[in-house]
Amino acid sequence: MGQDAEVGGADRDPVVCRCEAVRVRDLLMAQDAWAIDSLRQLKLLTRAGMGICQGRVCGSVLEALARAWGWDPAGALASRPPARPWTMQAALAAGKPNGGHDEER
Amino acid sequence: MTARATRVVVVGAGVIGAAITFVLSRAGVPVTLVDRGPLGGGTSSRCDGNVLVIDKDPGYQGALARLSQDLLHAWAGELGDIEYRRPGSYLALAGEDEVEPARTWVADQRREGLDFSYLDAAATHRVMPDLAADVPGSIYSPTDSTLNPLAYVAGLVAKSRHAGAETRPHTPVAAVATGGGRVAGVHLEDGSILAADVVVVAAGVWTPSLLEPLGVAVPIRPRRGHLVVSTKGPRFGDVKVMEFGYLMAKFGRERVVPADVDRYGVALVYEPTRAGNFILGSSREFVGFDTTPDPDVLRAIVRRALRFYPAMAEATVLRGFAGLRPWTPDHLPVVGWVPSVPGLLVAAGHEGDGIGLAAVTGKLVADLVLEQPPPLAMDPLAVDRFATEASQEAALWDKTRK
Repeated sequence: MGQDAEVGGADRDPVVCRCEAVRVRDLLMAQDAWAIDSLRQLKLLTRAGMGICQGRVCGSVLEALARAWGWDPAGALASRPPARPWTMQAALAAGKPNGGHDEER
Repeated sequence: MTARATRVVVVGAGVIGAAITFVLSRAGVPVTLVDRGPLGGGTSSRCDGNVLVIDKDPGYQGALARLSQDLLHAWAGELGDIEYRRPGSYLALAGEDEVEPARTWVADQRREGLDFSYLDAAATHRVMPDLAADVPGSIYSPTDSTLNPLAYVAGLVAKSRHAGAETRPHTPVAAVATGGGRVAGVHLEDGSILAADVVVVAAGVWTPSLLEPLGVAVPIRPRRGHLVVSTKGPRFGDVKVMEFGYLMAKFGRERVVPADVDRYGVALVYEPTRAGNFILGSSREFVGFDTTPDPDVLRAIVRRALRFYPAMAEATVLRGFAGLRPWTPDHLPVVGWVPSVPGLLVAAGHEGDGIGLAAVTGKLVADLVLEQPPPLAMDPLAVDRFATEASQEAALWDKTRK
């Protein structure tokens, strides 16, 4: 495993993802509990990288851990639209005017 | 050879392949589950966790879904933490003109033995206080459940391994191998052969590409669907809510909706997750295998959600993504033996119900392999049910040309 100790430094169980409060231990426990063989699966099952920052803070740490565990992290943390959290009202307003029916129901 | 000595290879480690492997391995059958990517890496991790009967046609489709719900309910406790809950689900009505069709829908379902009920406006707003004030009523189905789809796959695979199944993710299958007029196993892309007496193709939207070289045509096409995920924050009720209007087509009535809602086949799906977010859906498009999220479709989903939940205007959208439903022309999956290739089974084409129908599909496929009577007729799921009409048409065409 090697690399998680370097990532963690003195803290034996550091927080990896702040938004979803996921620690290294949670990532290890998930691998014990489930059949996990990719960073994308680990992300979806522990929610690491799925919080409000969308992996901006923890992404590089997660990718380093994935490599240490023998997985290719490419694409696992791909950004998803919208690029930043938006209120639903703002998301609608940003669109082109909607043609067709005015009668909304 | 006894059925239990049959070696089985299941191609496709999505929820369908995982459920088949789970049932077979627990019955003592040696199974190898292969997938070209990670476990659950396709449609099973780009979907919601709905296990529904509320939107199924009364009759066979409803019976299939209901059976699957009971099987899942029995399994859920032993699969680990798959976030399984059974909160029931609701179909909200958008206008007074939907009241009568909705009451008919409830009556038809009750006649089939399903415990549906119709809620008038007062009852609807008591249960779902966040719904728009002009929603005139709703339908309730108490047995509908929900779970975390990828956790479901992972739980099924973990239990299968425990029962002796071999799982080989990241192992692309090049072709189904045949010999002596029957299935011999699968050719892997690395050049080796995985020998088997029975091969089950459970490859969802990718199924036709494995069957075509064998001259087997199955009309499964990718029907793209988008989902929108909110941040953690205020939720709009703990129950799953969809809209009845999308079923109006079944009553020969036109839906009156904004143009983009119509264009992308958008219908409300509201699913609160255990993590504290909520998921919004849904959309339907035939655009090939492209899963790049389309902002216009995400916007149409948001527009539709605001029609039913005006207070969501201040809620925050975190991300959107798309997956590919394995669509079939009659909206029923393809589950059964391929008549022209002994030993070859297909279990695919579950459209938007793969998560919901995985349990019953696992049971049905295991019954076929073990030569046990299935719990319900399988003719409506037959592999060659589409071929019949097409081949008859072709034969007729040949005749007229002569």
